[in-house]
Formats: sequence, C-alpha cells, structure tokens
Amino acid sequence: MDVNLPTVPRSLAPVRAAPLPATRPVAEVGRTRKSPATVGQAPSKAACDAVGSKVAGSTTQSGSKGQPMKKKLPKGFRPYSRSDVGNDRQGVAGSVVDEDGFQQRPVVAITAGGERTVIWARQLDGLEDAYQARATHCVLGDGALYVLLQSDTDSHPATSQTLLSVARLDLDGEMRRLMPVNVPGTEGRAYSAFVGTVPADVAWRNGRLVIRGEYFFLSAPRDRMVFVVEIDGGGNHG
Amino acid sequence: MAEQPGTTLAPQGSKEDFVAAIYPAVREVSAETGMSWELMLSQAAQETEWGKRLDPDTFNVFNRRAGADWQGSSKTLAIPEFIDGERRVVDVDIRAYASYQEAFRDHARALSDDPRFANAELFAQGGLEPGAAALQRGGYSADPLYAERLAETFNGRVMQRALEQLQESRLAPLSITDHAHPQHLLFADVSRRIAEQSGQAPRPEVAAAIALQMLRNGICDPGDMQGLAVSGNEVHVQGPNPGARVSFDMTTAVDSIESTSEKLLQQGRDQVSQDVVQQREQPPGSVLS
Repeated sequence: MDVNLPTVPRSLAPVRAAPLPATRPVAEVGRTRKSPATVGQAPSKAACDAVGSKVAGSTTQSGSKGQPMKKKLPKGFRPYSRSDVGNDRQGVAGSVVDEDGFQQRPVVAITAGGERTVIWARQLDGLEDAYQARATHCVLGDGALYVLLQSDTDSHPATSQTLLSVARLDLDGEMRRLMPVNVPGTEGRAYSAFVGTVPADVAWRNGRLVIRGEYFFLSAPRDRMVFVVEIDGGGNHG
Repeated sequence: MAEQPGTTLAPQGSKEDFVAAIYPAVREVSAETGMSWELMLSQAAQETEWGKRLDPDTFNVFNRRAGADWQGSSKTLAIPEFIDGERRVVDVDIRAYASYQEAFRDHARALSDDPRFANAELFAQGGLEPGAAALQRGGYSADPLYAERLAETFNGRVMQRALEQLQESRLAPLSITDHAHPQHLLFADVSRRIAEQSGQAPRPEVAAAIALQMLRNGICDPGDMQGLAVSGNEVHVQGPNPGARVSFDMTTAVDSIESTSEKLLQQGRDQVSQDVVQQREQPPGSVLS
C-alpha cells in the first residue's frame, strides 16, 4: 500500500536502507529524512523510512532548496544494464565504488539520447547491514521504475550472503518503496542469491515483476539452484 | 568466545604495508601453482580492504571456513547470517594458518579442487584478466562484474603505488648492516670480535672496510678467520693460509658505509665469477691447490 508523500527535498535525501528480506512487513514510504549522504557513502542502518531523490549532479533547480546541480552520472559510475523506458529514454542500473574500487553503492539513472543527457540519477541504499550493494536491472512496469538491488553482507564471498530487493521509483526519480525479495524454498535457512546481467532475467510481465536467478545455501555453496520469483508493485510475492 | 570479524583488525599499517606483507607469499604461491599473482593481490585487497578486515591471528585472507574436512587449526568468529529476514550472529569456524604463504596456498588448492574453477585459465600464469574471468564465470563472487572490479583494484592508485614502493625497496642499495647483504655475517663477526677485544665496537664504516680487505685477501666468511687481534688502533686478521692476512689501521680514512657495501657486493660477485672460470679451465681430473 502506498501512502501520500510529504514534500521531499529531492536533491538531498538519499534512500535509506531497507530491512532485510523475508517475513518482515514490506517497508512503506511515509516519512522523509534529510541527510548529507553523498554518492559512495556507507548505508545507514535506518529502516526504509526516508525517501527523496538524490540527483547526482543536476544542473536544474533541485527540490526545495533550489540549488543548482549538475546533471551527470556520478564519478566512477559503472553500468550493469540498460533498458528502454519509453520516450527515447533509457533506464540505467549500476553502481559507484570508493577510490579503491570497494564498497559498491547502487545508482539508477534515466538518460536520453544514448547517455548524452542524464535526466536524473540517484544513489540508492541496499539492504540494512549490507557491506555493499549494486543496482543491476532497471525495468519499466505499470508506470513505475523497478530497480533490482543485490546486497552483499560481507566483503569475503566465503562468509557473505547476497540478498535481493527491489526499489520502486516514479519516473521522475522519486522513491516509492523498497521491497525485499524472498527466494522461494529458502525458509529457515541461510542462503545467497544472485541474478546475472541478462536483461531477460528481470522483466515486467502481466502486472508482475519476474526475477530469475540462482541461489545456494551457505551449508552447500557448490550446489547452485535456479529460482523464479514474481512480485507485484506492492511487494507481494506470488 | 567467538570474535567479531573486522573488529579485530590487522596490525595498524598502511595499505601499502599490507601489500608488502602479502607480496612475497603471493609471488611464491603464484610460482608454485600458476595462479596469477596480480589476481591474488587484488582479491586479497578487496576482501580484506587492505588488511583491515582480516583476523590477524589466522592469516585467513579469504575467510575460508574450517569445514568437516579441515584437519588444521581453526578459530571461531561471530559472523552475522540472515535467515528469513532476521539478522543472527552465528559462530563460524574459520581456518587458522601459520603464515600468509599457507593462506594463499590453501586458497589456490581450494580453487583447483572445485570443479567450477579447476580450469587451465586460472592456473596458466596468464595474468589477471583470464584468471579473474574464470573466477567470475565460476561464480566466486555474486557480482556480475567481479572480473572488472579486480582489474580496477590492481590498476588502481593504491596498488600501483604499493608495487612501486616494493620495486624501489628492491632497487635500493643494500647496506652491509642489512642481514640480506651477502657479506653481512663477515662484517658482523669482525665488529663483534673487535668489540670483544678492545671493549668498543668499531664504527660500521671501519668494520665494513676491514671486511672488504678480508674479502679481497681471500678471507670470505667468518669460518676462514684463524684469528683476529687488536693492538692499539691496529687490527690483524689471519686467514686460512699464510698469505691470507689483513692488517688495518682503524684511524685510516675510509669510504662511506654505502660505498663500501657496494664494493663488497661487487667483490663477492667477482669472487663467484673467478671460481666459475677457474672450474671451467680446470683440466679433467686435476685438483685445485
């Protein structure tokens, strides 16, 4: 269920971290929080209760403060996938890293004319407690933008889990929801899931977001299994 | 009680210090296994954040778990796991190595034992890119651009600066006071014996000059010394035969320690070359006098 949003200082507030996936209620957007967070900053442990759009480098007036900002992708941005979102515009999912190439932070952008013009770009946070996260897919569906986030819980793959979530944004970049993705068949067990960069692995079909990937249980990391999960715009799994 | 990883940090040092600490082990294991040393350096830097996220007691760079098949030492760490959306802290046994060599050797062994990675590209000494691509294809990391990120780390400013510093340290003049200098034992023994007899250690540059004279006169190591005597400012060294002897006035002006160290290195090389030539010219069956 979406709720009415108060006015958001769009240029300043980052999307806060979401709770971890699974049995918890889906995070709702209802409050806003100003934060000095910038691209590359570590995720907050706060729940997904603050929204706004971070326009990295906009040259337009931004939000209530009206500060001039550049319209460009953040420095060090690396795209993972692109998709057509209509009106000759593309959604670009990717990440930025710190100066050493560590601690990815997810970034999503809408561009026009290839990537010559950046309409807006904003940093998202992965799941709460995540070591790092990346936006790997960006899909248009039902008038909204759905961004798949993959969050790693540790810097060591041997002791890390990769957990999935989906951010739903308006086409103007405003964050609406951050929805954990529950991989079916993993109840009661520690697992790690991942989705490759094949565009078809994340698609909007019949009013639902369909995500296809692989997962394994930490107790048997060599045994990889395929999963398909469908969620609607409200984060309900089906 | 289990320890929280990342809270027990490796000894405080710079990022470059971490690279310098693991570099010999990485090169050694690379030579043994064919796995790219550049790849191992990048992996280690990424996973430990230049040594920051590394349990210093275990040298376990990759947080490899101590499963049922692990016969070595282990250490229990408290590591967060996420089950049904809830964060729990669980005790995880990780392997405890005695050295970085063991850690990297075990890492290469584990990869070669895993069918996902046991391919020629990873162990073909082919450089970072093919090895990183093999790890990515095998799903070592969940990041679809893992190989690119490893390359970025290796080509990044910190890693390149660390490697430059290592190169500079290797090219730096080797002082006779350094244990790595081939004639350091001769120098140290002369210094010790003079100190024992005169009650005062000679200046390093004087001891180095005496060692150089000894080397030139065929007294090549401490075992060649039949005796050393100090008389006033004079030092007398007797070598293994009557012609091999040195008398040295310690008040004589001598070269700098750096200069003498280099001359000692060169003298040592010349000595080796002479020995080789002598052996080649030796008629079959003859015996060197």
